[in-house]
Order: sequence, then C-alpha cells, then structure tokens
Amino acid sequence: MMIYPNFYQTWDVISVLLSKEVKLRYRGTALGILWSLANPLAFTAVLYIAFRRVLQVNIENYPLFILSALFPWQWLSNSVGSASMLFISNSALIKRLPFNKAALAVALVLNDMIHFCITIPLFTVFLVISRDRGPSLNWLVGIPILLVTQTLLTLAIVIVLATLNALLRDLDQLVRVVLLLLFYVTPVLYSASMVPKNLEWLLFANPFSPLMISWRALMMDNDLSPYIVVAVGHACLSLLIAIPVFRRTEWKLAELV
Amino acid sequence: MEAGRARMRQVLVLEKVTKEFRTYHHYHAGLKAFVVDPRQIMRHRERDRFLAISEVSFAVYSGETFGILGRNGAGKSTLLSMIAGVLRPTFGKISVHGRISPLLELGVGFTQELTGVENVLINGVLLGLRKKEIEAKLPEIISFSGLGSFIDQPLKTYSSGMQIRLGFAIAIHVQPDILLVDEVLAVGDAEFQEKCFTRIADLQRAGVTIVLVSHNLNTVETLCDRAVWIDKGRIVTLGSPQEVVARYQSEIAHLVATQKSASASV
Repeated sequence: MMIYPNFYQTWDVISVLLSKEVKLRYRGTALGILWSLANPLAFTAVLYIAFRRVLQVNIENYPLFILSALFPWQWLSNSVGSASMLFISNSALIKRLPFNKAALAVALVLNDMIHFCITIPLFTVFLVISRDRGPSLNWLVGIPILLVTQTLLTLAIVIVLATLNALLRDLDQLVRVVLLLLFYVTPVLYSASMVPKNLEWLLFANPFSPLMISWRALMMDNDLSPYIVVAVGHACLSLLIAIPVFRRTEWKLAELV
Repeated sequence: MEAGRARMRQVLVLEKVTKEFRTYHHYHAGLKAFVVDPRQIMRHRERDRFLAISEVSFAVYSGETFGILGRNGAGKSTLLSMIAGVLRPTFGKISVHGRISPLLELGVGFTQELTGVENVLINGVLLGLRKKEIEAKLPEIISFSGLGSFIDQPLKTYSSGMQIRLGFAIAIHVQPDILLVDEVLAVGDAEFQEKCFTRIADLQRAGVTIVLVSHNLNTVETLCDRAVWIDKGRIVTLGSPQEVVARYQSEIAHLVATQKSASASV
C-alpha cells in the first residue's frame, strides 16, 4: 500500500537515523545501556529518602510507586527536552538534503521509547520481588496502547517545539523551565487521588498527567484506567495541531536553521 | 542544433525562478524583541529582503552535462539548492523528471563515531536510496573508495582525504537520473580526481544528466555540453561552454582592469 510515494524510503530514513542514535548514545561507555536505568534509579533513591523517610508520605511501596511513572516520564522529558534543538543541531542535513524532516523527530522519540522499553523488565523484576505479584494479561493490551499513545503525543510536541525553535530560539530555555514545572504538576511523586478537588483541573489541563496515571494504574495494579481514553484524546488533539504547523513550516526550515 | 535538442526530453525545467531571502535576524533577536516592540520587527520584515536569484529560466535535456558558472555569491549554490529541492523558489517553477542526487557537499551527515560501512548506509539512505539498494552497492562503493580494511573503522580515524573519497564514492553510486555537483571536484589528490573524472565520463556515457556548478573554467569547458553564466542572481549568457567561458573571461579581465585603474587613480 502506498500512503504517499516516498513512504518506504522515509521509513528507511527513520530507521538509519534511529539506529545511529541508538548506537551513539552509549558508545564507548563501559556500562552502556545500563545508564538508562541508573538515572531514574538514583533519582528514586533520593526521592524515597526525601518523601518517604523525611516527609513521611504514606504510600505503600513508594520506590516502586515512583518508578512506575518516572520511567515513562523520563522518556517523555528526554524527548521533549531535546526537541527544541532537533532541527538546529541537524542543520547540516536539512540544508543539503531534501528529505522528510519529520523523520528526525520520529527517530528521536523512538530512540527514547526503546530506552524506556528496556526499563519494563527491570520494573517487573522489582514488582515480583516486592509484591509477590507479576504482570497480568492486561499488560498485553495496556502497554502497546500506552506506548503508541505516548509516542504520538511526544512526537506532536517534539515536532511543534523543533519547528518553533527554528523561528524563536528562546524556546529551548523556556522548555526546560516548563518541563521542570510540569514534573511537579504531573502525578509522578504523588498519586492523582491526593490532589485536592479544587486543583483537579490541573491534572486534565496537563497532557502528561493522564498518561502517567494510566501507566501507574497498569504497572502497579494491572488496571486499564479510564484515563487512557483521555490520554488518547490528548495525543490526537496535539497531532491535529502539530501536523499543520509542520506542513506550513517544513520547506522553510532549510533557510532558518 | 537547437532544433535537434527540441526533440530531446527535458528532465529539468526552470521557469522564471526567483528566490528572495528574508534576513531572519529579527527572529534571532528572540522573544524579548518581539514582546518589547513587535512593530519594529514588522518593519524589518518588509525591509530586509535579499534577491538571490531573479527570473532564471532554462531547461536541461536528458543525458546532457550542464554547467553553471559564476563568481562567489552570484547565486549558484542557491540555484542548485532549489533544484535539489532543499530550498523552495519564492516565485517561478522548477520541474524535475527523475531521481535527483544532490551532491551539494560530500559526506553530509557523516558521523565521526561510526564506521565507514555504517556511514555509507546512513548517507546512501539520506541521498534517497532504499536501505537494501545501498546494501547491494556496498562492495562497489568500498572498492571505489579504496579504503580497504579502514571501512570498518570509525570515521574519526580517517584523514580528511579519506572521508572525501568515501563521500564521493557513495554519491556517485546512487545512480541518479540527474546528478547535481557543487564544486566537489576540486577536492582530493590528483589520482582520486582522475578517478572522479573517469567516473563522471562513465555516468555521461550511461546517459545520466549532470548539473555542475564550478568556478573552474577548465572543468566547465571539458565536461559540459552547455553552460550558463550567472551573475548577481541573473543569467548573463547561456550557450556552448566555449562561448560562455570566453565571455566570462573577457568580462572578468575587463573588471580586473577597471579595478586596477580605479585603485591606481586613487
């Protein structure tokens, strides 16, 4: 089936860019891909001490609780965090070769997705050790749905940020600040149920919350949360914004970066 | 001769192609400038335009080698970028029939940390090939590059000459219908240049259309079937390479002479 004439070629472009990124990220390091785990694990240890021991947050299995949302958050924030410089740092390619620039964004998001997928088995091991309970069949349904949803949402955001930052270079700084804020507004360190009623709108206004809530419900309690529907909605909506923005600007990128 | 050409297939047609650049420094001033004084920015928007190419029209015929000649900043590379599809003309139209391989710079997207083979795959796909096509051509590319066992080493261990050889080897094996070449023939040692010229002659015989940008008059005269001279974004002359080169040379000589007399009188 031909979706558009260069579909397969564009897919090849994505695949070579992706394999390049995967090969490069940990090339030359002794621990290699294990570094993907080190960061959230160390962070969780700190948070465990700060929130569970010092502030005495009353949540069962707190380290596991954090990790269930922190792993997917890491994927999201890595992709979104590097989005704004995406086209600028690839200016050599963009200025000299006519290819679909969205391929760069897809490769970026898939790369971080792969690194997230590596954390799932580790999480499962922790889960079995600490709770005597493993994954259920719901994972087979939930994980693919959430993977696709988060890929699409992240992709939309990455494309918009990468495009706009070619026009307004301030965006890179702004994104860092906003990501930091969003981390605390999204229920990663606390559960959605702890949010007071009058602040609940924050959970819905923020496109990342429904995803993180759904991941946690699935990974911790084997539940397919209704928030999945909200997450899918957010993903579709952001694509509806991202696609026209990108279509209108793509041809100009070679002049801007 | 013109009548004969009319029966040949046009593979690349430029109709009144014009390229205007806006200078984007107002955007680079960033959000602050925009918030502080948006009107100032809008004024810049209207004023800061630069006409890089103005109403350029020509057609390139199948199998022909077409030269684009001009001084630095004349608009040659802008023109080539538009033909390659990297830039879009502000006005006018460019129609291309067939696969274009843009050789605007050798080794675009080369990654120093990856091996030669890995870079060949990436570069080939970015040049428009399918992955399996470039994999099939791998042995040929490696042998043309003459890199031997170095091909499995990271690029950072290569000399700049070796990288250029690899870049050229890839570009020339992608089998385009139209090959765009931007000054890249000026690189490499004499032996490798010879190899490149031989390969270009092979491509010419195989019927590949070549558009060549150069300021080497000799290259244009020996390789091209026709040439165009571009100055300040406009066509000055279009015709046989001998004609164009002769006119170019006399004009440049004239220019140098006037500059000399001008500086002498000061």
